[in-house]
Amino acid sequence: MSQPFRLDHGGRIDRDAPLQFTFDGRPINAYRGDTVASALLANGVTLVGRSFKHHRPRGIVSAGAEDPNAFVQIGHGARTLPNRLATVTAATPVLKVRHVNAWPTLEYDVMSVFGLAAPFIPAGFYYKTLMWPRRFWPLYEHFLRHAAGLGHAPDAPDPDRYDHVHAHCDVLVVGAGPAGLAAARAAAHTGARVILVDEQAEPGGSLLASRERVDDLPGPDWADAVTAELTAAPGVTLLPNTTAFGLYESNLVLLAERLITDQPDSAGSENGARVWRVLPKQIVLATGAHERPLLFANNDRPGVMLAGAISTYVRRYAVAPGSRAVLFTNNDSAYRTALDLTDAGVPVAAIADVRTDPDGDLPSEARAQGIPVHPGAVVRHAHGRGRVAAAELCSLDGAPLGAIECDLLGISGGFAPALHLHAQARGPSEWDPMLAAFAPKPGRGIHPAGAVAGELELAAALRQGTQAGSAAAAAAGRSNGSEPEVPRANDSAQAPIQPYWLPPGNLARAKPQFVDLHEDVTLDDLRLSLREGFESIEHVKRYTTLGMGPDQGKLANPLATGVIAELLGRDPASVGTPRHRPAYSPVSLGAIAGRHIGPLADPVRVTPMQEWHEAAGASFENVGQWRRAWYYPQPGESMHQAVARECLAVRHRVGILDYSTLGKIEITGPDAGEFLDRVYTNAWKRLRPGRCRYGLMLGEDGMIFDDGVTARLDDQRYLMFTSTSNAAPVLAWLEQWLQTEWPDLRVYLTSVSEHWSNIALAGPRSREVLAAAGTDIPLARDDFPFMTFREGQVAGVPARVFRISFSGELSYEINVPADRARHVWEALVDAGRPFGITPYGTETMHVLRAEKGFIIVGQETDGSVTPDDVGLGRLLSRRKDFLGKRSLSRPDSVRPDRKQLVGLLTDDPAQVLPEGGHVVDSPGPQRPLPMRGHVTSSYFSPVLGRSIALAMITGGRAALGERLHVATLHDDRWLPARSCHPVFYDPQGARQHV
Amino acid sequence: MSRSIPRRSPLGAIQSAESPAHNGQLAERPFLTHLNLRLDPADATALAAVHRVLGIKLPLTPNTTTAGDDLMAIWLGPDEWLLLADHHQSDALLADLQTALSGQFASVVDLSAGQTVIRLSGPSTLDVLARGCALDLHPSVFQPGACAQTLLARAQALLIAVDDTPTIDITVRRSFAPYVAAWLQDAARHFGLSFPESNTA
Repeated sequence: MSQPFRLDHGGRIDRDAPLQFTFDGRPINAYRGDTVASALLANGVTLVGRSFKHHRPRGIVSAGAEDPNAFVQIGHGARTLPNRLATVTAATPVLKVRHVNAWPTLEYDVMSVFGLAAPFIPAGFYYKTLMWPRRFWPLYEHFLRHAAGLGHAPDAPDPDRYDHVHAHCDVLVVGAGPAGLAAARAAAHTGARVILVDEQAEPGGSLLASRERVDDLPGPDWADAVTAELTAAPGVTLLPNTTAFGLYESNLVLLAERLITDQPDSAGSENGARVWRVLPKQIVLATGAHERPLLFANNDRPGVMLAGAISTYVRRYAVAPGSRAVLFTNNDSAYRTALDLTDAGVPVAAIADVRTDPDGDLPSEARAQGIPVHPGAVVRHAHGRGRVAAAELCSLDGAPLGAIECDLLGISGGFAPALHLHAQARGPSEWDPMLAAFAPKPGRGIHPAGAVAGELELAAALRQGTQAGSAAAAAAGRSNGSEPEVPRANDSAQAPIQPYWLPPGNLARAKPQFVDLHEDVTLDDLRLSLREGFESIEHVKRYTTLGMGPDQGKLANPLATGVIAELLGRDPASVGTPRHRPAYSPVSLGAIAGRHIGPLADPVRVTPMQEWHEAAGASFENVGQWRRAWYYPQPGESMHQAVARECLAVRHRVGILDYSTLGKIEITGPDAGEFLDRVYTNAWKRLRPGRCRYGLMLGEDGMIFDDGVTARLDDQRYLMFTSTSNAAPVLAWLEQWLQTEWPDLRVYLTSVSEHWSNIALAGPRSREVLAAAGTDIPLARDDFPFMTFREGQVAGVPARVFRISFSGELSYEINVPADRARHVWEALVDAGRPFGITPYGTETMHVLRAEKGFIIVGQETDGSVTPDDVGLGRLLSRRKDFLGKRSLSRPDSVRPDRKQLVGLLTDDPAQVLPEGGHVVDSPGPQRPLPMRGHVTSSYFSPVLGRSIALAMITGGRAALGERLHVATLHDDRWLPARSCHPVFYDPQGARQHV
Repeated sequence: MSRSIPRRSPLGAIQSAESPAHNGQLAERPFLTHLNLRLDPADATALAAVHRVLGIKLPLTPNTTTAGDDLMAIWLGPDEWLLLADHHQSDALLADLQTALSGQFASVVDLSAGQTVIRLSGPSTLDVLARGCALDLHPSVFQPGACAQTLLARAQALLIAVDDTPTIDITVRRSFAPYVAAWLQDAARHFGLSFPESNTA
C-alpha cells in the first residue's frame, strides 16, 4: 500500500484497518480514523480543487470545518452530495470522491484561463460589464451559469431517509475539545442532563494532536478517558460527527448529525443525516478558534497550510503534509508545529516570525532543536505553480531576505474565536486586543469557554471549561454541592502575538494575495471596494463576495477585519465583522426537510366519506388541508360535462354533497344570544329555538370576515357554521373577544366540526329522498319550513337536519356523528337512486351558488369588502352595536364609487370570462386604462345555457346594464359584457321554499 | 335503533388488534367516549355535581389528569376538560352530566365521533415522539398524570402520560388521524414498531 507521506508510527489511525476509496476514480489507500483529507495527503495528493472564480489550483488548508478549498463531491447518482468537506468527512470504504469546479480534469482545467485573465476581472466585474447591451443578458447568463456553481445536484429522488429529533437538556456543550470535555464532565458531575456535540468523528479536538499531558496522561489518552467516562454517565448524550449549525431565539440550537455507514451502494459516510432541534437550559460554547491566515503573494498555492493543521495531520493522522517546511507566524503556536514536524523527521528550513524578539518557551525550544528562526521577517511571495516550491522572505520594511526552498509552507496569523453560533443569535462580542480578534461576551445562558473565549493555553482552557460546566449546570438548577476537580496540564506560557495584516510594499496584480480563498477575493479587491466608497464591512462583503462561499468566510472574515482596519486607518473594533448566519457549514436539504416529504409534507384531512368518493371516481381539490370531492366524472366525461350534469341534476332532480368540512361551533350559555349580537351584524336574541339565520361577521375594520348560518338549538345553545377555511380563525376570533374583552359574558364555545359530518341533499326531489332513507322527522313543508332545523333520526342515526340552502333549491343539510356518516351517506344514495340522485362536488356547488348570487368569503371578498359592497347592507342592524360597525361609517366605507357586486353577462353567451380578469369601460388607447374592477367568479351555467360571472365594479350597482370590457389573461383581446343584477336564477327565491 | 349502526373509527382498519412487536405497541383505541366539559372551577356546586356523576374530581392543576376505573378527566384549560371514558355509552354519560348541571352555567358536548386516541407504549415511546414533538417528555418532566396539548409533527395533539412503561395516549382530531398514524408509522419504523395493519397511510 503506497502512502508515501504516511509516517511510520504514531497517530490515531487504525493501521490494522486499511481501507480504500477513490478520488476522481483513482484508488486512495487509507486507514480507519482517517479523514478524506488526511488520506489524500498521505497519498501525496495535494491538488484537491480549482478555485471558484479564477480556477487556480487549490490544496488542503486546514484540518477542520474552516477549510475554504477542500469542498468535494461525494457519491454518485441519486445519493450524491455536493459541498462536502474532505477535512471532516471520514474516510470509509466504497466512498467515491470527486473534485469540483474543474473540467475536463483537475490538472488540465479549461477554465484556468481565468487565472491568467484575473488582473482584468476584479471584484464587481460582472455587475459592471455584463449589464449592457441588455439584450445580450441571456447569452451572458448562459455562459455564467455554466461557469458558476460548485458540485452537482442529485439526478434522481434521494433514496436515503432523513430524521428529525427534538431534544432537551440542562446543558448543551458545543465542541468536545479540552474546554468542552471539561465542561461536559463538570456538568455531568451535578447529575445534569448533558448533550455534548462535536463535528469530528471522535471527541478530543486539539487534544488529539496535543504535545501536552493532562492529569499525567498524554492529551489524546486523557480525551479518551473522559469520553469513556461521559459515555457511561447516565443523562449524558454524546454526539460525534455532529455540527451545531444554527443558534436561534430562546437558544434553540440545530444540530446536523452525519450518519456514518459502510453500506455498499450508498454515498458512503454521508448516507443520511439527522437534524436535532435542541432546547437546552444553558449552553457551554466551546467551539474553539480558527487559525488566521497571513497575506503574501500566491498565498493560495497548494502546500500553504495552517500551522495548526500541519500539527494535526502529523500527530493525529500520522501524515507528513510535505517533505521540507517553512513556517510563517506572528505568534508562538507555529513553533509547536515546528517541533511536531521535527519529531516526525520533516526538516523545518526556517521560521519567519513577524515579531522582532520571539523569546517564549516554545521559540526557545525550537531554537534549541536547531531550527533556524528569522525574527522580524515575513513571507512575501510563495514560488511554485501546482505546489509551493519556495518561500521568499523579506524584512518588515520590505528588504529582500532571499528564498528558501520548501514544499510545505505553514502559516499562523493568530487565532480567531469561532463565535459563529453565538453571533448568529446576535450574542454580543467584543474586540480582544490580545487575540486581535472578536471574542464572545457571556450572557443569555451562554457560557463561552476555552479558545472561543480567547483562552488559548491548555491548562487555562481546562479550568475555564470546568468552571463553565459547573456554572451552566448551576444556572440550570443542578448542583451536587461539591466542586469538580480541575484537570491539570503542563503546557507552557505563550508570548503575545503581534498583529500582522498588510504585507510591506505593493505587489503587481499578477501576484495576487488572497484574503478569501474560496471566493477568490484578493487584497486588491478589498482596496478597490474601499476606493469606490464601500467601506462598511457589509458593503465590502457584497461588493467583493467576501465570505459568501459555503465556508462562510471562516478564515477570510477575521483576516479581512484587520486588513480593512489597516487600509482605512481605523480601529478593527469599529470595522466589525460581517453578520454571521446559519448554517455554520453546509447542511443537505434532505436533512432540513426530514420526514416532511411526500405524503407527510403536510396533513391531508379527509372526511368519513373519502373512500366512497374515491370509489365513485371523484376528482379532488385541496381546500386548505382538506381534500374535497371536486366533481365526479363518469367514463369519458370532461370536467365541463361532469359539472353540467351535476348542476342539472340538482336543479331538476336531487344531488348529494359532502359538506363535512364546514366549521361548526357550539355556543352555550345564558349570554350566547348577546354574544352573537355582538359578533354578527344582524340580530340574534329573538331568533326562536329551532330556527336558523344567515349571519355576517366583520373584522374591526368593518370588512367581511366570515359568513354562515347559525341555528338556535335550544334556549341557551346555538350552533354556528363557518366557512371551511375559516373554521379555526373564527373560533380564535370569538375566543379572543370572549377572553380578552367580554369576560363577563357567560358563554362557552366548543368546536364540533369533526364530530358532526354534514351531508347536503339539494334539489326538488330531496324531500322524497330523505323520507325514503327513513326519518322520524316530519318533512311536510309546514312542519319543517325553510330556515328551521329539527333533531331526529336519519337512516337509524341521530341527526340534526337543517333546512338551509346554498344552491337555492329545496335542501336539507343533515348533520350526523362522523363515525356513522358513511352509513347515512350510503343510505341516502341508495334511497335516492329511484329519484336519480347525483353526487356533486365543490365545483358544482360553486356554480349553483353563483347562479343565485351567493358570495363566497375569500372569492367575492378580499378583506376590503363591506356588507354593503356585496349588497348585504340589509343585514346591518341599526338597533344594536356589533364588531366593525363604527368602521362602516368611515368616509372611505361610504364612498359612492366603492367596488360593488354585480353580475356580468357576456355578449357571447358561450364566452366564460376569466376569473380575476380586469374590467374597464372601454379598451381605448389611453394608458393606463382606468380600472373599473375585476371578475370574482365566472362559470358556464348549464341551467341558463350561458355563461355568468360575478364582479366587483366601482359604482356598479347604480349603473346596472352598463357596457364593460374584460381583459383576457393570455392575449390582448377584450371581452364585451353588460352588468346586471347578481342573482341570475330564481330571483324570487321560490324554489328553496317549496 | 342507533346502536345497530356500526361505527367507523378514523383508523377503522387498525382498531383493536395488538401490535405483534414485543418491544412496544402502537394501536388506535377507537370508540372511546370523548366529552368536552366547560364550567367555572370556582363554582363549587357545579364541581360537586360533576364529582357525583363521575366519581372522580376534575383536575384543577394545569396539564394534569385524574383517573377513575374506566374514566379520565383531562385538564385542557382553566375552565375546560376532556372526559375520556373507556366505554362506548357517550349518550348516557352526556345525559347524566347535562342533567346534573342543568340550570347552571356549564357546557357538556359530545366529541366522541370527532376524535380518536392512538396509544404508543414501550421503551421507544419517547424516542418516537421526540421525532415530532417539541415538548420535553423526559420522565423527570412528564410523568403519569400529566397531559399536554401540543403539535405532533404538523397536527394538533393531546398527549396523556398513562404509565411509566412509558405509555402515552395521543388524542387527535378525526380528520388528522390518518396523517398522524402515517407519521407515527414512519417515525416508529426505526424502532421496529408498526400499526397492526399497514393500511393506515
